[in-house]
Amino acid sequence: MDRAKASKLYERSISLIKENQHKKGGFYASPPGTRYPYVYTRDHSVIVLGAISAGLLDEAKKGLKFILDVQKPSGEFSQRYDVNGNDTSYKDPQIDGNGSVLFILGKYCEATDDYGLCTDRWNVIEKAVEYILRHKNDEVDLIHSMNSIHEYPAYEQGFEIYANSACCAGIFQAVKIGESLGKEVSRWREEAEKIKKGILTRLWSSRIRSFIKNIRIKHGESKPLGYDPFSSVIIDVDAAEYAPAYFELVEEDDIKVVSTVKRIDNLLWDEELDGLNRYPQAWDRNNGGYGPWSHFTLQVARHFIRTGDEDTAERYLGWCVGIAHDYMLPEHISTIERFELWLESYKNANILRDKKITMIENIKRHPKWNDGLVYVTAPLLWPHAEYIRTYKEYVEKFL
Amino acid sequence: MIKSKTFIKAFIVGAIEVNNRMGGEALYDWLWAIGERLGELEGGGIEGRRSDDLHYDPICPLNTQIETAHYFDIIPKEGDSYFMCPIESGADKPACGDIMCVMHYAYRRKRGELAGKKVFHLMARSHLTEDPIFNEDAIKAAGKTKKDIEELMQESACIFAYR
Repeated sequence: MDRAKASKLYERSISLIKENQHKKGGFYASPPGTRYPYVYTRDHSVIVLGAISAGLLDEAKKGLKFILDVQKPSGEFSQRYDVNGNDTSYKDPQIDGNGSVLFILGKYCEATDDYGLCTDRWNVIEKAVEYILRHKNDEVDLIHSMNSIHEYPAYEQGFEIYANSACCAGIFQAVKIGESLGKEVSRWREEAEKIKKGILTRLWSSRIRSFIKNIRIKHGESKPLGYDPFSSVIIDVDAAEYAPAYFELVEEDDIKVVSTVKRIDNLLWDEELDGLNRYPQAWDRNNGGYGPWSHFTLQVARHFIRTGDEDTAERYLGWCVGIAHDYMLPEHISTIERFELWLESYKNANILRDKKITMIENIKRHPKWNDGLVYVTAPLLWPHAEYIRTYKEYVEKFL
Repeated sequence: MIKSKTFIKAFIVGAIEVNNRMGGEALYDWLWAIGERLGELEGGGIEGRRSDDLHYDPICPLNTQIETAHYFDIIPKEGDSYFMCPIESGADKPACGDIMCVMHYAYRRKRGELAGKKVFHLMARSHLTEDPIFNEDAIKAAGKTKKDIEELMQESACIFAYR
């Protein structure tokens, strides 16, 4: 790994986070004028975690205030907002956003011991938790979601691993906050424990020795679930299956996590480009071409750091350092051949929307195109936040 | 067996019944009230895609879900007629491509109001014929002309502006 570049990328990641915080507190998912100039709850949450890790505590607090103040009357946090806090979502609810907001609030309190935000906005916390619990199915003790980390309902609608891990961890953080403020939160704790048990039993396969992606269910209230129109299980490998450890529900050295990550590494490490893919190519929703994603590679890199596997940690982290162009990380990369395959399939299917045409133009304008590589959406702030968190742990552990 | 679209069918049947029993104005008021309530439940927000200072929906989200015309074909009995949208003039009224535009406009208007914005509904396509229906008062109030929205109309089912 190019250590000088790695260090400079860390500094650049911090400055990118600072530059991309709007004065009202929201973090752009990608800079104004690029593909995602909005505040996406999921991305914003991870960026707040990056800010906390970088010691940007004022920025983190401002980011938290922004997101806590834009909760919808139902208790939901939307898929995305404009910088003024107006809901501009265009997808069905993404309940992991509720879990993520509660999780980062708890992490901020852990880092600062500053509970002022929580005292002022306790009603927001209550509504966020109750919104999650309204989506809990008592037959399996799991949270039903329409979408999750890949924003892909056909694959993620049901009891999905990332959404459940985020929500479960979010409620646990709300419990800790509540206890610090002297609130009665024992019911929340019981519910979170049930969800955790649901994740560890129903979203775990002993035969595959891995967490699984999703129990596909159309309606969260279907009873019995076996008669739901979607009822089926997705056991395909997915980088999101690392979520129980990512959200600190399970220790990194737990055998369930170790064997899950082993499968992810075996099956999703890209043989041609290196780096970690998010799911198998066969799911074929590969905007810009199938290929490895920066932020999933960085998330899983932390597992190897925490379990002391320096070689693999360096392989993961070093790949991200290597692909950073002009000290900027893309959402994902691909090859021109894979890009053309994707383009043909979307064109033939007549599902190439105008926004995708803009994305294609940007891909072809990127300097890496001339090297035969496809860079999709660079910079994306999410991987920069993950980079800060990962690089810092790597330095503390190995350097 | 109750099928997944039964509730949608029930809504259309309900609208036809309100129209038959109480008339077009009552239906208009009923749909408006539903839209406002839904907007309150959802909270403040900005809808649609942005194109300069206009917003638009490439397809009508209600048309894809409700398939009004389709249900009307299979539901009618003697005496029913496809409920016409009462054309009310005014910049604060919907461009009525379909009676469902009343509900959608009231919803969008309430969400805009909660976000501190005024909404003008400039154009909607008829669910039946796909012809564009304009609200000329709203176009004027938004500081636009029909010519200004011509190009955007090619890719829109609905055009509106926040001010």
